[in-house]
Amino acid sequence: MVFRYGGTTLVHRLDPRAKVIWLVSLMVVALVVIDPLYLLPPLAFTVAFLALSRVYVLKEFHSKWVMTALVGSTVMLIIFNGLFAAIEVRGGTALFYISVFGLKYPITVEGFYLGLGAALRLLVMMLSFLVVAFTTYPRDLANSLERVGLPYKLTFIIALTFRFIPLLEEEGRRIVDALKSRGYRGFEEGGFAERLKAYSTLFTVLIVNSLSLVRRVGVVLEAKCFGSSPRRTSLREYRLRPADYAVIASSLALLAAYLVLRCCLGLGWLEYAHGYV
Amino acid sequence: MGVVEIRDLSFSYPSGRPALHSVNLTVGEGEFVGVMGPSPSGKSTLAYCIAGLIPNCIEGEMRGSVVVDGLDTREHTIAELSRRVGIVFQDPEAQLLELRVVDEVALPLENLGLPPEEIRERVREALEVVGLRGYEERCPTELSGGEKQRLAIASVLALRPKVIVLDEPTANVDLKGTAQVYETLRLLNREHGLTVIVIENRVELVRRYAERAVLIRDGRIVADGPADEVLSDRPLLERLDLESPPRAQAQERREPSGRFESCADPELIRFENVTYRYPDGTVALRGVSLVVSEGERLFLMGENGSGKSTLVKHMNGLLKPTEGRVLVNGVDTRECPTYKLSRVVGLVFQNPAHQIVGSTVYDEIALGLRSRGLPEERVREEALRVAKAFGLEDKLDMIPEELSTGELKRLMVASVVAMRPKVIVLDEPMTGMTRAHSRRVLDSVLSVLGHGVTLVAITHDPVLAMEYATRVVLMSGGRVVAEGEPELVLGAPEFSQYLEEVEVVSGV
Repeated sequence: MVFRYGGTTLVHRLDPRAKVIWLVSLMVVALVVIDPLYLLPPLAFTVAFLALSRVYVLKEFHSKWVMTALVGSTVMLIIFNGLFAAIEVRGGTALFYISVFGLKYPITVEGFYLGLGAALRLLVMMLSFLVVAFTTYPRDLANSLERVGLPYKLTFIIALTFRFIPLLEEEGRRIVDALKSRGYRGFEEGGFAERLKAYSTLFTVLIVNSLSLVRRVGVVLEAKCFGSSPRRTSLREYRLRPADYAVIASSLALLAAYLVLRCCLGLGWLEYAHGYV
Repeated sequence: MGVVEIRDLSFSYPSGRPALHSVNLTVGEGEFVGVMGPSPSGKSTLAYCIAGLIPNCIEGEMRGSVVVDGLDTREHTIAELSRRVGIVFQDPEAQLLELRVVDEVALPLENLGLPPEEIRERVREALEVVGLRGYEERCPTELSGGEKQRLAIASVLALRPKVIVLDEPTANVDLKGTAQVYETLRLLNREHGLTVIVIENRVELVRRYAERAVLIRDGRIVADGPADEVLSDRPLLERLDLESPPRAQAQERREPSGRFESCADPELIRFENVTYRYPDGTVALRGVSLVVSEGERLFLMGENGSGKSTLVKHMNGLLKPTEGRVLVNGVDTRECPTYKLSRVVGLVFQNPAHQIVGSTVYDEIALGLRSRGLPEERVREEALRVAKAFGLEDKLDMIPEELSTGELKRLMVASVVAMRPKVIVLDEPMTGMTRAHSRRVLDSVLSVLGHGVTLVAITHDPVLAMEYATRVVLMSGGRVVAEGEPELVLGAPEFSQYLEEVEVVSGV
């Protein structure tokens, strides 16, 4: 999991606070409706930001984990809902039937429609998260969240986590290489017991190393005068500009509109979407 | 009155391990001091004491006093001391916490609550001095080892201290980077009057850069004086394991086995036109053809990024060629998993933290022996033999965390040697070791596996290559640019530029 943060597009230059409001609004909007038609506007909003930020050209964006999450979850949700929603969808339009133990089981249009809705929802949430994650330095996010009143210790930990995730990944890869070279079989073949042994060794070593890293970082933090002044200052200044206000206003307007649609007018939901919230 | 005044300083860790015994040391303003000693000698502990981390945030029992620029470290917080003395640690991973170079340098200043304009000014100045202007928005993890350590130095300088303490700052840095770091320190010392105290075990570096050398053993200062003088006392350096007598060259020692030359040495590893491309598109090997024959000692040399590590990872199938093929014992590595190849080719990495898995030193060595299917009493016997060869026989019951870095590295090599592979491949486990220590490790490998073992080693030290190699391969840009007998390769024109860089560190 590697992000790349730097850039000069409009989205990169937005204030982190505006981006957080944009992200949270879209997440809530995606959760209050499930009808694919109603999910198109938030999806368009997300894709517009994605296009503006141009993060889709980065090779980190095309990495295996991002693509697996995006494509995999979309396909899975459509197929699973298509196949299994039939029980919930009564009186739907049957596409075809499959027979299970001699019973005719309908595969319905509505099932796939619901699947599409569920997939779009997740897509909106994942893409908007990726846009923010790929265009905002954790340090800027932490600093601006601190401005809003979150404790510095918490925001600093958020920033530090992003710094250390790629490091731990790299560390894991090196340990696997070293263990394979020492004759550990479970990473390449072998039964469950063999694999369990190999991976439990990997995680033990990884945890021991992480704890030692945490200890060293603790000393380093001390040497960097962490927490020595009650009034921490910042090299970077964060000011809301017109573009930020525009993003905040449009995000909140979209959010308000969708809350009204769903809660007051009862639109945007599918009556057979049982099991969804 | 010196800028650092240490009086009767003793320290022991909570585990009971004493690290320093009544140390007295005065360092004058503007001095450049190299502190040396066999690990564990208490050098790092001394660095932590000078920087005030002891007693402020590292636990243990301290007696005596450390006064830095008039401030007693027992009576002042790290934040107060940080404007007098700063510390740079060995590994860049734990000390660089930010994702942009400017933020890294600004972090301590922000924590102290300085006004933004002043932070900006100091950051600019600090980056200027270490030669990292223009790197402001770069990510520290993308920098080279030498650049990372210069960044760490900048983040200390921004606090404008009088003294900087560095704990083996170039142990994990390549040659070019090492020279850059030391040139930066020399500049700071000469032009800006900064007092530099550097923990360093490589004699050549201290001789070249420091004015004064302090030698420590078992927590006591055993020598202190002008670097030239102290470091010309060879018997003393040999007693401290910082130097060892030069070895006879490989050429001469190879004679006895010369008898077998008539029957062609069977080849163990064959590279056929191997190209390797990493998933991110970087091409690390370009059409490499190479044969490793039984009984030879092949030393791989070349700058960082020349493809040496990528090459050795092909030897046991950790990496499979993108084009071409690699045969180990006649088997294509694409058709054989690494765990099987590990019985033929034993690969030792640079960092013991990735490789050591046992709960005790004995377990670690026994692991390899058991995988060979030896009965338990033979395991015991063999483990003792191997441990003895690597100087670990009195540490068998210790847990790996209790060992010093040098001991950990020896354990790492010992545990692979115990598996008795036909070929032993050393991917720079000797980085950061003194030459004396490296010689000892190589001698131990040869004594356990016999002088006829096939050895492949990556090193930057031409002296070691001369002494041990039967063949040297020089790599550059993913290609083999020169190969042959050590004398020939080390004298080749391709080598001279590389040697210029090496010269600073290895003193040849």
